[in-house]
Amino acid sequence: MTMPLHTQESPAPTLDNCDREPIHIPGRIQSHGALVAFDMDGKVRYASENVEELLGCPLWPGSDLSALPQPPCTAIADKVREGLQALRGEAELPMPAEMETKGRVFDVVLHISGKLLVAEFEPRRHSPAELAVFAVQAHRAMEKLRRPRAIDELLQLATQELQALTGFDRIMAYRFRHDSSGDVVAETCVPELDPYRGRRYPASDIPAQARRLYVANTLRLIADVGAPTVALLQQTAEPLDMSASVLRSVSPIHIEYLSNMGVAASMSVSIVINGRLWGLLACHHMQPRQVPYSVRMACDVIAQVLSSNIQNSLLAANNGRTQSAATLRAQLIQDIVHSDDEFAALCRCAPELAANLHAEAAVVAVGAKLQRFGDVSERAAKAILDWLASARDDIPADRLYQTHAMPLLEPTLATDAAPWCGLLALPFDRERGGWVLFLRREQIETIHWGGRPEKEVRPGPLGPRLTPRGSFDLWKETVRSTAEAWDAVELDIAGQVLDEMQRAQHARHTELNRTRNQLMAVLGHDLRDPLHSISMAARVLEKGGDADGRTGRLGQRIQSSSSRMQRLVSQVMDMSRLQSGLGIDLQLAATDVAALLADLIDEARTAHPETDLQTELPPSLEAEVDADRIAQVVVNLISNARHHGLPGHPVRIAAAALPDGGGVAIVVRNVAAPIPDAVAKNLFSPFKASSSGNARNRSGMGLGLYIAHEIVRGHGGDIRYAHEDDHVVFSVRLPPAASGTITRS
Amino acid sequence: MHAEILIVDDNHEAAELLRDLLELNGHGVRMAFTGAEALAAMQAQAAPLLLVDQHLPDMLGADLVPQLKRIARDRGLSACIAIGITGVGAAERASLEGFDHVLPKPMNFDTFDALIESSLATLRDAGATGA
Repeated sequence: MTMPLHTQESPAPTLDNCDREPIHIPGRIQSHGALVAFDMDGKVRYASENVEELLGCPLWPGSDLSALPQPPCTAIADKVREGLQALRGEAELPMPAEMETKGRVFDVVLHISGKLLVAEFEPRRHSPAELAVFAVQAHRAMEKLRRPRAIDELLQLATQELQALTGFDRIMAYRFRHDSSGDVVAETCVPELDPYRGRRYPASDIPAQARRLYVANTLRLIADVGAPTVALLQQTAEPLDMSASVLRSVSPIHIEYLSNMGVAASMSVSIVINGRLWGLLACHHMQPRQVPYSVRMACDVIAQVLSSNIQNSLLAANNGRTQSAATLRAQLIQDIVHSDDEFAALCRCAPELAANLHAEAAVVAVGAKLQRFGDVSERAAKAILDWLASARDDIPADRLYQTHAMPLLEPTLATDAAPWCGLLALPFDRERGGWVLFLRREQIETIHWGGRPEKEVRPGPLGPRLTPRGSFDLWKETVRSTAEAWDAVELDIAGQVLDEMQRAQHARHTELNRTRNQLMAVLGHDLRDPLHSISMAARVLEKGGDADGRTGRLGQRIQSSSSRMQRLVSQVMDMSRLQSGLGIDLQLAATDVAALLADLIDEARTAHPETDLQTELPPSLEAEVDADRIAQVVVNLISNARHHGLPGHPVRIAAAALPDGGGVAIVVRNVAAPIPDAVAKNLFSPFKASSSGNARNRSGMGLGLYIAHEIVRGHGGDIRYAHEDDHVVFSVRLPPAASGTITRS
Repeated sequence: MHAEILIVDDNHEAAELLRDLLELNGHGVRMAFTGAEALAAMQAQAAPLLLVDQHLPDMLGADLVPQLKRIARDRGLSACIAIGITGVGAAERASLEGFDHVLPKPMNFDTFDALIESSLATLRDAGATGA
């Protein structure tokens, strides 16, 4: 009762689905060796079709190890038995070893895949003497590559040593970037071939599943690109996981790519750093070539030595950059503090900082002042600054902003800000439009392709995509409108500079505010008495004047001006408090608002008898308010109404309790045209920071309403403008009871 | 309307200007610049109308006023009105005891005039002041 044998049938991959191709279960091996997989009981589950031919031993799926004829199977059986012990967990997996059978020497490599022991047999083609020479050479290469060196130098040396060791026609050192695209950083090749150094390959050239596999299984060999592969025979339907196999056959896509280039043998070794595929050493030969197993293992170790060395180099380089950035930062802050001129200090350090961040240009801007460093045009700088200033929600007000694809985010910048695609923006003073920008060009701009026709390349059935030129063209497409991305070190450096600048600025502002507050407080306080005296003296003049009344009128004029001064001093002191975040000092007490308003209106009538003030007040209206401040608000509203209302029409003031204990409402209305939308939008706002030469709005109405708004808000209420029935209406709402936080001192 | 008015304020200029203003209406005005001076002046001749600043160099106006009123009573004045002239906020003004009225700074002169007139009327009715 034998089960039928069959081989695995896999659908041929295409360019569209090659990133999903299951390359770990090809069901085939390369023809320069044989593979047999045993289960725990010593039964064969998978065997390559060439087992009997190569090993002289009849092993098929279903064969039992114990039932093997001996010889020639003894040697094999012994090796396999050792391996089965490991499979059962009774011993360690044996190291690769040599085995002699049928008059030939083989390298036997065992590994465990799932619940199976996989044994691979490779015939040796070199004598022990030759292998010994390889070993010495490999050892020397390792020593050389252990010594610390710049990374590019190291990779160049690695390609040279590998070439000397293995004899491949071309050895390249690839480095992968953040987006997994690769570039050929170093190369050693025979003079007949066109060098590939400097070329770029898109991420899709090595699909994701391959990259993952290359981290786990660090060396791959294709001994003969053109040779037909050998199928694995199996009884079950399940494929064998060949991730760790040394004879695994590779993707037909890859085979076609290699043969398009005229490459007949290929080997690649992974450079793994921190569990990531950092790079590859890729070897090509224009004739088939089988590198002895022991030499391949040595290459693997060489790659590990390289990895370790590169890792140290990267660390040292990053530390170096971080160090010099810290020094630069300290200098900048010192400079700012000493010169008290942020703009100039930033300009002085911008070039060095740009170099540190590997940026190709920089811009320092404060409002309309602009300084450029590097090749960036004024037009580009302005376009980018305008875009940043257009207060987009996704650009945070005080955090670093970075992108490597600016034209993709804002298409107009593709023309206005060409060729800049990478942006690292530090908003050190968002309000005043203070930015430092670091820029990078589009990647394609910085890469040059030789452009010579590649004489050895001939596209196969799947077309020109599978050639180096095809790769480069695709790479160009994927990086259109992008610059090299900013790496973690650069972002960290920029972030720290911004943080320090903001800290320094905050400290300066706090100091400035404190000084200004003190000045304002002293000024206001000291001005009050002299102003009061002037008022009084003017009153005396008014009342005691001579018969023709001129002195009296003089007295009145002086009083009117000094009243205005007193109001301005109050406003300036209030503004100073508000702008420094202290808020208006409110002292709440139970007050009869109706009585307050009545008194206030009486005074207003006396002062301006020509204005018709009509009131609608209840007999009493209790609320907890700062009486002086609420009076200030209503006086301001009445004054505005008087100034802006149609003459001959009354100003109406009404107050009432709101239903359901909703608090108190005070309404001032007068006949007037509606306030224009542009003004109405900012009615209760204070001065806006001027930008690009806009005139500040200094009308008295603007300031008074802002302070009124802050007073009402401080009470927990609100103040609104509306236009109803030809009337401009200002409504103040005060809540029923003050919230606990209002009283400040 | 003539009356005896006592101004108590350590700000000489403000006191003198206030005196000028009141003298225009024919009132008799004396000035004191400290609490002690005010007490002495009151002892010499009790004034029925007092204009007192809250912040004096030797004491608070609120503490001085009861003492001045006691002297007025002892001297046989039938009534005595104390008006506070001070700059504190409404809430504080409302809490100042001893004063019959408190005026804020900056002063509204019309309000001041009105208050002086009404206070004098009250004093006249009480017989504390002459014609």
